[in-house]
Amino acid sequence: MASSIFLVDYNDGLPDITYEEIIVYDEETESLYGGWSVLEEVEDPNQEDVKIMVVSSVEKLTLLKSKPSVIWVEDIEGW
Amino acid sequence: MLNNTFLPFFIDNKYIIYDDFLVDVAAGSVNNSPASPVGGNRNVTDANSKLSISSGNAVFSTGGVGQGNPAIWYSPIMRLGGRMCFGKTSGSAGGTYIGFDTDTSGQQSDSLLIRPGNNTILAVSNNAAGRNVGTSAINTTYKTCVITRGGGAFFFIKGGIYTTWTLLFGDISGTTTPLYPSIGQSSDTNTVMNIDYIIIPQVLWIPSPIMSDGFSVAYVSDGLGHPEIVGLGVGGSGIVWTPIATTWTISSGKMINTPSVGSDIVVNGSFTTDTVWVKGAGWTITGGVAVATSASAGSNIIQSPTATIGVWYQTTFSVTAYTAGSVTSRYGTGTQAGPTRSAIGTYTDTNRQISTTEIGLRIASGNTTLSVDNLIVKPLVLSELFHSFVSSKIDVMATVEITNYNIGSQAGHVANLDSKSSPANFILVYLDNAAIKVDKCVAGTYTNLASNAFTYSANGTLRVHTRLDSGSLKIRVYYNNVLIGSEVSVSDAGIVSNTIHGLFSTMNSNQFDNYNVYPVGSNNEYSWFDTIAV
Repeated sequence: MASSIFLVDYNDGLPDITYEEIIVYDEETESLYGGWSVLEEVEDPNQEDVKIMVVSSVEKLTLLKSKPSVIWVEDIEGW
Repeated sequence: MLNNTFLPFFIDNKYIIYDDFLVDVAAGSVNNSPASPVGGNRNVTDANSKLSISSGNAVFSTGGVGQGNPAIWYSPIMRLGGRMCFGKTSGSAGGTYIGFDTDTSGQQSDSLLIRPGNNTILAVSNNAAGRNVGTSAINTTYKTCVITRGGGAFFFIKGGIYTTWTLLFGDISGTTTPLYPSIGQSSDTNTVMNIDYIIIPQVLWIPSPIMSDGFSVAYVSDGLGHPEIVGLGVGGSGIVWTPIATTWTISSGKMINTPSVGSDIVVNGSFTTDTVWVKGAGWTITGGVAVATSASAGSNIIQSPTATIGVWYQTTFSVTAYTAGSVTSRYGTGTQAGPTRSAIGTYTDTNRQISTTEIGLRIASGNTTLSVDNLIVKPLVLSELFHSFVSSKIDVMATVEITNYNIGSQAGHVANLDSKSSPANFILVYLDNAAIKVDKCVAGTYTNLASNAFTYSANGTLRVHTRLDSGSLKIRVYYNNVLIGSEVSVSDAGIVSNTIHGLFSTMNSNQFDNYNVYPVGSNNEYSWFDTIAV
């Protein structure tokens, strides 16, 4: 499990990332992990560049870093 | 440190332990030194001689062995509900525990770990791994209080961003007795911390909830939603769930909601003719059903009827033939979807319409071949989805057991609701399929603040902890006592002054039990602690 901070645009009250992009199935624990939490106020449901913490696998976070619509800020844990 | 002049008057028969560290002791010599002024001899583990008593403090210096080394344990006391342990600490690195232990080695069993070295506060209960319950900063003085329950403990703090005594966490597990009052170093061997005092007063006290409901009777709380149903900590009974929402009823001692549904908004939901529907690749309408043939993930069959963005809907459809793949309902966009369905059957799920008025179905996995019939979409009434009560508290720690959760629905807490009859501003914390979500709704417009995966367990507890901080609500969510995601903030004027809290459910198969709500402390509910912990 790893975490990184990104800047993500919001559209209609949702961040421009999907569960498929970050949720991971852990075969050892037979459970899902991963998700996001905003790290700053979201004042507009279509706000751009919202700072969010994303938790996922290193592999999925690496893919997210290459997604054109998000901006990687820094890695936090698990790298 | 207290002024010595007043100590004889202050401590007379009021304390089991009051170690104010009045007499200096060199590192390596603290073991068996007497607590001063009250508390018997100190039992110390300090292999590297990194603990000293100096200038009124227990001083933890860098180079300790690790967790609980160095540490001080005092004479054991029986576990009683309401036994309070106060401490005061600050430092520039690492962290220190203050609280209780079930033995005299290693990590303490029931304690608060102030760990400014990595900006966290951990609550340790019943020897479990520390739960992240707050944030701390270096060179900041914190007063702590751990209060034992018949099982588990409450955890309070004051200092830094916690400008009043603040309830951080509560747990109900762990009944071991006796307990050893204790202070000690965290696992951080670079710890540089002082502890000013540890105090165990004779007085017993447990906070009382402002709402507690075990749902033995309808619409008025019974006070049985938390463990302290007699004696210290009793409370929360007689609170009226107002105004009464008749869709919320008690079934076998559990609270359930059976929301009413409006009229079906789907046109040609029985696929009688090949009309109305916009069919994506792989979809056809034939023989009175919608057929997906080797359809790719993301392919939709949709229509744009009178769905309203922001309204919660209930969708029902049948998979009448199945070969491979999976399909989901969709509520405006492909990502706002129900659970994946991959077998013949009739399915019902609920969700909130977002982005567009489109409704329909979406292929969820590649190469899907199946048939669907009888798609029905009906609106729910938002006010019926909440079962709430009017309190006088803005920020609270609200906990509920979700004893049954139906995948495809939503169940959890509503907090800081503006109006039961015309809700438009509120916070939702809820289970939604495989995720726990935090949404805010401001003037009817929703924004998702957090979505994090979780694994449902029967009778699992969902907790929302809100804390008012300079006009902003800091929101933490716990499932089975584990922090889910990160703390999020809400400052919207329509929300941050509201004092209505309660339950949220979109389907009658979701069941709730043991709902309890405690004030967090921003209104100085726990300020009397300062009469003991100066």
